[in-house]
Amino acid sequence: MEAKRTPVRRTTINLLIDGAMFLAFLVATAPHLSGLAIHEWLSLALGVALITHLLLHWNWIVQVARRFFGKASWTARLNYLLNSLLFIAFSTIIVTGIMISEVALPFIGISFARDAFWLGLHRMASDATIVILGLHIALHWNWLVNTTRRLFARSTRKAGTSVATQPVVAASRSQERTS
Amino acid sequence: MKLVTRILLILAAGLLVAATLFGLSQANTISQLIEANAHEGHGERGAFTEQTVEGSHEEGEGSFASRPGRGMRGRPEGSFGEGGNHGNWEPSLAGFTNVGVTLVKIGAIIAIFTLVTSLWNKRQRKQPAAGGSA
Repeated sequence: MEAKRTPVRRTTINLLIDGAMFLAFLVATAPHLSGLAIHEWLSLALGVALITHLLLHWNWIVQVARRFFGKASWTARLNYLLNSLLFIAFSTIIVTGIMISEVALPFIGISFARDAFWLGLHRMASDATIVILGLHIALHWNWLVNTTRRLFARSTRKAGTSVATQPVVAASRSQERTS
Repeated sequence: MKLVTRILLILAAGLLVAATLFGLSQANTISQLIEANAHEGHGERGAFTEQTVEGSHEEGEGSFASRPGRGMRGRPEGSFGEGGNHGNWEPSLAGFTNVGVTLVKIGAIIAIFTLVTSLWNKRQRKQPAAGGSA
């Protein structure tokens, strides 16, 4: 029973983490909405979420890396290349963000001399990330839609069964009263 | 492989990217190109062009560092100067526009990708049928 539940739970966890990461990314790309402090801390947290995301997909990373020049399908190869680019872009955003940090790093007593180079690179990387992330989501669109549908279908089925059992319970109670 | 090893591998890959970036920052041509890109996108175009003609933005008259100007994208009172901050970063609801723009960009990319993929798949499905009839 437990073994059957595990893949579903794993998929749900993946979906929830990915959804949270996407929302966090959206907020992080709008520092004027959140303010600089939230922008910086949220982006650092996004870095941790990125590591979690990679750890959850570790087996896929290793498998495709092994088969990359061999039997891997073109979709897997494209996906792998795109994900590598996304990793580089995210790492660039985090490193350059640390270099131009005004709140998070000074908070722990570290500050660097401000440089237009890091700021320019930070902007370029974040612009590139939007494009690569769009492609990443597009490549996983079917999985995203199917998993969300399945998740909602399961929750509505659960709700449906609980609603369906209510009249039965009520009927049995009334039977008890009459008897 | 142990979880700690995996985390260390990911961090090592991130450090590799960081090291490459530090290397790039030492390369004059590339760093100037990126700095110019940052200035061009967010400063006053005319003033910057003048600087590029006369020399570097540190040496030129009315340098980028000291120019009060419009500051960077969406930053009301920013300056690029060393030691100066990036301007006013108070949170405001106007920032929702940025979120909307990002969403539209990502949505457009997904739509284009889906369209191209479906056209490609249709073409792939038609090809064997055409081959068979010939």
